[in-house]
Formats: sequence, structure tokens, C-alpha cells
Amino acid sequence: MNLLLAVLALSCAPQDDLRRKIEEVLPRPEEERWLRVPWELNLMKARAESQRQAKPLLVWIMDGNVLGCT
Amino acid sequence: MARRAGADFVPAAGSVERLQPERYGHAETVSTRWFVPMAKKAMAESEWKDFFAGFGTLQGVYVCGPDGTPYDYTNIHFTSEEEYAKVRADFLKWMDRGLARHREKPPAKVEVGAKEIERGAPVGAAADTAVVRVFNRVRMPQADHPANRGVGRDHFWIFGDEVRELALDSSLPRPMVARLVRFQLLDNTRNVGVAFNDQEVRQADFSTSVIRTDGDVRILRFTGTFLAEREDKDNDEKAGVLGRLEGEIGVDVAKSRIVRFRAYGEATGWGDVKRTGAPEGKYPLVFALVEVDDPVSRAVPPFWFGASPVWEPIYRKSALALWK
Repeated sequence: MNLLLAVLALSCAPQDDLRRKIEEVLPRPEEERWLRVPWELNLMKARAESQRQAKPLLVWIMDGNVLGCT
Repeated sequence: MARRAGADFVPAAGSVERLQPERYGHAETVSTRWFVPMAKKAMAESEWKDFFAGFGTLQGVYVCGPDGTPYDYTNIHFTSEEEYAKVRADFLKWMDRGLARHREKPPAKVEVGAKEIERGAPVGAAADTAVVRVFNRVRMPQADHPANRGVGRDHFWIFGDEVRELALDSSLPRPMVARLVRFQLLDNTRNVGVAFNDQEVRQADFSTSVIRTDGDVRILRFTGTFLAEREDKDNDEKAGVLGRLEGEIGVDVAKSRIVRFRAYGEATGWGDVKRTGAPEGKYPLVFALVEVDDPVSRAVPPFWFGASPVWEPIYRKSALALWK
């Protein structure tokens, strides 16, 4: 039984190792607070909402869409 | 700031490449016809009024009405911790100013029809394209520029024909490998990384093996080493990356779909010191690639796919001179 567990642990090890390494690179929650903003990607839809809610638009335009690129 | 953006405004985001056709070459759309006049007026009326003339781009942050009335414009730029703190503090005041101007001079009523909304939808990934998020970090906590402590981001598209090839063949299609090395394994930490042309990639050796099959899903493990370097004549420096990538791809061979893509890379980067404030000399980079399938991720193209109509086919059918 101990040998089987050891073999299973070894067979899982590369996948766990890959997952751990990836997790260390992924953004932390505090690095993605701005993604909690409900950004609309369709400017025409945003205009319609702005009209409906009587709120101004906040439009963020950068080189590369901010919702995917740096 | 995030809370205020969602509570006090209708927030919208996009790429300047798609919204400024005169500069980047994409077609005019219903969105560009609304955005460009508003943006130019906003810049001309702000303290950044000479910015457009000097920089030539309409990127930035705007407060405006749905009728195109501009209320304010700002941009986000910092090269030190002090500047970063000031940008954050000033941004809340800037939001307040835009809101006050909106109250003082409300926009005219507009009608935005269903057809306009349909035409305003962003250009996203085709249904058979697999989307992968690419993240990178500079592993150098003491780096001077505060943005070196952030996360680089982009999307990576694996097109339908490549996914089908993976399902049949279990080897990485060459355009996919070329695209990875030329356009995706870049240091995007401080700004979008500059892509390598087909001759600037000196090495791109990737191999795969099938490690198991779970029903219709075949799991491939892949590893690769890559080296690319370019001349940055404008800044009189060379920039490059040398690294290794390892990962797993799960391919549903019955549906020709990628159901899992996980990869990790370690590399050494150099250059871009003058262009974006990269660390001097050679510095450590790490990469993580993870599959995604949510509507927002599928709607936002990779930077180099969307950069201009010139880049789109080059991204799509990437190649390397060293393979000729």
C-alpha cells in the first residue's frame, strides 16, 4: 500500500509542480481590483446605459484592450 | 477607485488600435465615429491639450456623455513610487471633477438603437479558436521602476485549424509555435512588448509527448526552448529573451477542442531599458499560460492580432525564417 501511494504521489508530482509554478505568476486579487469594475466592451451599449442611468461614461482606452493587455 | 468607477459612472473599455482608424488603419465603425470627435475635443479642452499633437494617440481615460460631450480627460503615467502615489490620489479628484462638470452641463438626450449596439460589438475570437491568457513577471523585487513589480498580460489565440491539427497529430503546429515565440513570450510587464520579426527568432525548439488519454481527451506534455533578439535602433539598444517553456495541453479529439492549456516558462530578458524602464542588464522573467473561455476573454483579441490590419495576417500565419 505504501509503495502504491508513493508511486501515485510521484505520478502526480509533475502536475502539482506545474500548478504551483503557474500559481506563483498569476495575478493576486489585489492586482486585479480594477477588473471588478463592470467594464462594458461595446461603446454603443455603454452609451445606451449612460443615457438610461443618467450617469456619465468613464471610458478607458489604451494600446491593447485593458481587459486583456498590460 | 474601482468602487467609484462602477457606482458613479458607466465604465467602458477598449483598445486605441480599434478606435483610432486614422492612426492604426482599422476600418471606421459606428464606435469610432462617436469616439474620435469626443476624444479630440476632450484632449483639446484638458491640461493635456498639446499631448495629442505631441504623441499622436487618443489613448487615455475620458469622462463624457452619451451624446459625445466631453467632461474630462487624463492619462496614467508613472516612473517612480512617488509618481504612482500621486497618480492614484489625483485620479479620485479627477473623477470628482468630471462628475461635477456632468452635473453642471448634462448631456443631450440620445437614442442608441439596437442596430448601433449590434455594430458596436467588439471583434473577438471565432468559435473554434482557443483562448489562452498569458501572464509574465519580472522576478526582481528590487527593480527601480514600480511597474516592474506588476504583471504583464495578453491573450494568445490558437486558431481552429491548429486545434484540429493538434487533435489529429499531437504535435504543436508550426504557426502556433512561431506565434508563441514572436508575439507572446514577451516582457509585457511595463507596457506591451515589441514583437519579434521572423528573422529575429534564433531558436524555437518544441517537442510534445502524449502522457495519457482520459476518454476523448488526450493530454500532451510539451517543452520548448526559445531565443529571440531584436535591435531597437530608436533607443540604441538590443532587446531579447532566452528561455524555456513547459506545459500540458488537453485536446478533446472528438470535438477538436482544447479543454486545458497550462504552461510555465522561465527566461532571461534584456533591453527595453530606455523604451519602458526595464531593469539594466539581464533580468529574470517568468511566464504562466492558462486557458480561458469566459465571454470577456473571448471578446478581447491578443495585442498583436489587433494592433493593425497589417499585423493581423502575420499573427494568424506566423512563421520563422530559421525553418526555411
